Amino acid sequence: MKIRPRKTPPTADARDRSIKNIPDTKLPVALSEKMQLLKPYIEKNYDIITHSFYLEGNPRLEAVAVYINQVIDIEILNLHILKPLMLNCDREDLLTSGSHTLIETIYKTSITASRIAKIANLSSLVQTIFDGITILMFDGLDDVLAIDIHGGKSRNIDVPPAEQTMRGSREGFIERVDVNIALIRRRLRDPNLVVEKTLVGRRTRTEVAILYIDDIADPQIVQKVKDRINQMDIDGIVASGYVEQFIEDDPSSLFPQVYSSERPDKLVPYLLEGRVVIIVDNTPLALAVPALFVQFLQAPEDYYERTLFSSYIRLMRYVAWIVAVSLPASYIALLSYQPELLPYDLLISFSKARVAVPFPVVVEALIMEIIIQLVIEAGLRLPQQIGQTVGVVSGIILGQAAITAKLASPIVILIISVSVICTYALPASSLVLSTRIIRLPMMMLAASFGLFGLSFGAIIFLTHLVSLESMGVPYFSPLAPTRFSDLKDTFIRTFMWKMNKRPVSIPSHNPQRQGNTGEEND
Amino acid sequence: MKDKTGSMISSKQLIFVIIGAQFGLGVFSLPRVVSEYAGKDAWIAVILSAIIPIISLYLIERLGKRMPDQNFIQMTTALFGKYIGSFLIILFIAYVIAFESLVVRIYAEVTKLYLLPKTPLTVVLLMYIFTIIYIGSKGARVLGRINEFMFYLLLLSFMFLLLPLGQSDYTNLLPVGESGLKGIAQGAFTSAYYFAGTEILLVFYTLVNKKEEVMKAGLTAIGIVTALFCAMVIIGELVFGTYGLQKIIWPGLVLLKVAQIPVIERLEFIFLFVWLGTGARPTINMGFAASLSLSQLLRIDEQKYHIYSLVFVGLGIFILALLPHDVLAAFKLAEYAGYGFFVMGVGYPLLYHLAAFWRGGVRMYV
Repeated sequence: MKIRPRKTPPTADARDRSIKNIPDTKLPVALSEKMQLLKPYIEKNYDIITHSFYLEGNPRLEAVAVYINQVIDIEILNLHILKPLMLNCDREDLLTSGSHTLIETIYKTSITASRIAKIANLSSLVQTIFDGITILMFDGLDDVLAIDIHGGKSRNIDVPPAEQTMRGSREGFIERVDVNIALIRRRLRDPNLVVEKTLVGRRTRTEVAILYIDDIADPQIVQKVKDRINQMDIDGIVASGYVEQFIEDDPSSLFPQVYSSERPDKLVPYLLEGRVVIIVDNTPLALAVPALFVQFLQAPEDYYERTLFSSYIRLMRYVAWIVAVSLPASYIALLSYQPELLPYDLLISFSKARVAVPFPVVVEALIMEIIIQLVIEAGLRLPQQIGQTVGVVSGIILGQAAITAKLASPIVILIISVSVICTYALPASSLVLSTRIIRLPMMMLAASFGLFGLSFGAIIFLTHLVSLESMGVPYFSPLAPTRFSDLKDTFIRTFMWKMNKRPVSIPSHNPQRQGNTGEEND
Repeated sequence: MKDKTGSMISSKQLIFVIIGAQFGLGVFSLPRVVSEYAGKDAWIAVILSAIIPIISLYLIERLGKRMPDQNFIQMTTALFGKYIGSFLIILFIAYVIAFESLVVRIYAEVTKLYLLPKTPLTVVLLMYIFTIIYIGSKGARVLGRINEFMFYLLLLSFMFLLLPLGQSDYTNLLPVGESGLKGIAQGAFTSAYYFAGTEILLVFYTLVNKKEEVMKAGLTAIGIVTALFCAMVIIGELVFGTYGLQKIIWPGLVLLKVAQIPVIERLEFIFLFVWLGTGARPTINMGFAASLSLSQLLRIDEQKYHIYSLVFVGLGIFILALLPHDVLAAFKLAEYAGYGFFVMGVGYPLLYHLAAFWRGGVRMYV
């Protein structure tokens, strides 16, 4: 078992300490002194807005609102904070009630926005402003109010572009962590669903939410996930991919050990199986651990469609994976080392097609493989219309030209195309990436040692897969170690009412999933 | 028991480890060797020969039960003292290296013959050794899982051996008992060599988490291997007949060529995919056992430096495998190696029992 050496986790204090080293002084009473203290931190920033106003009453009380433009919801600020405070502030005199009760009165009676906190020292004041929270400071009161009215423009909930579905929900995650959590909450109303939040990144201070069902998920795994996330000591993260790379068990493996998806309806069943879901702010891709290898060959449609059809599709995916990994390699091995294993007629047509090609099989196959990989890469980031053109040009013209130029035989183009199609038949994009890479060493081994090389590659990759772990859970389970009770949801997907137990491959402390027996009740 | 080092295996995995240690390339030549003595009754001989591994299993299990907390090394030094104990362990390691070097050599020769006629022997050998070291370096638990998975793969590929049954002649097995008691006994004796690998339990006993299930697991493993051996011999007899079998060095491999099915034409293709896996498995398991014993003997950190003793064992196997100058010499040596199994599988546990008896008296047996 390979465990990355990890440094001791940074203390919460060290992580929260802001970069500028803001002194921890207590805020003064007078508003002008507060502004004086705050000024060096915000004066250079054009987008931080300070808005002075008077609270209604006699005598009038001077106050300042500080917020970042477009990060807060300006409408809420005007309607639910400024308007009641300026026009309708029912309060006693500062002198009669004392500063402590007065601030309570202000926010309990006059502010209609929710999520309010009190702040008393400078460092957390500055940090709160930069976290995007609106600050209200009053003259004569040492506490300031922090009101969370995050808002501003964001993308609407949309169809997830990379994970389309025929029958499932059309909702995909967006870039706002709160909205994403709500998408899961709406589907899973269990009071045991725990949502914990933590901040990652010294400078970016990105919100990372950890979700699990308290009475299903294995506490050890939950703890492990939390520990690994807390151990991240980095200046900034901008996507969930950062978190994935920090928490996976074997970073140098070709295989993905963290499952990522942008569909809430995919993650809710995972939560129900005892997995832990991690949602990172500013990323529409949520993560789920522990991940199993077979999971990357399963799609949510498998559960939405009827059993027979989805079992068939699932078997096809396993075939697709094996073909994607080994077809070009088998072609090379058979043609260059063991032609006697091919049927005679087939061999003749193969060699006829290859007569004009001056290269060995492996060179021919490698040329085509590399061209196709580049075409995929080229089409990926182009606008859709141009991307299609590149696809058509490469598909029809390049292929035909390669044959005419005698760089490749039609058969090798067929073989490579089939393996590429099989690669993209896989439902998880992270497995697609690793499959694209694995094909190459397999082709090299086949070119050097024929079928023996393939067999060698197979056993090495198999050993690697079997030895992998995701959060300490065997990655290749339920195949090895074999868990027979999970096999009904591995190569095939058995009837819904037969899956009474949660999968044993994922440790959980509540094995019973449902009570259906499949018998009719009279 | 808490699994601290990640090196414990379940009793279920022990089944597959024992199967893996016993079931190798030998199965392809077994029908020829056994039928040489036992003729048409080869299958009876194979069933009878299972007695020897069962005896070995029983002896080792009793030994382990007596000293459940001690591993092979601690047990040996406790019984024989430091010097004789170390000698016995080094002998065991040397036996494994020598035995497996022959297995690897024969395997590499077959690979060369069938798959890679022009590739130098050293390259093929090195690929085997690399596989052994790579899998061994992952620890006992991964070894158990690999063995488990490979067993199912093996069963699947074994199904292809059933296809030639279309050309079988059941009269090849009749009359039963023709070769007489002597022939059957001689056949059983030869076929018992093929169960070499049972002695792996000497090392693996302490790694199993449920000691009370070891006996059951061992019996299951021997039962499965006997059934597979028996099936192989019967299929060989049915298709080729006793006289036909004598003419073929590797009847198991030829069986694959006999069956012709449309489109795929030759079945070996599918079989060859698991070729290295099935063939190197005994060496992987035994090599791991030997290197583990070596690390324990030298008292080095099993987690950190196990890889070095693995490399040592691997290199030992590699060098010894190069010694026989051709495959026939290797075959000749393999005949002697069979006796090694009797020494290690039956002789060693007996010797240990005697030593324990001498040291602890009768009371220890109660």
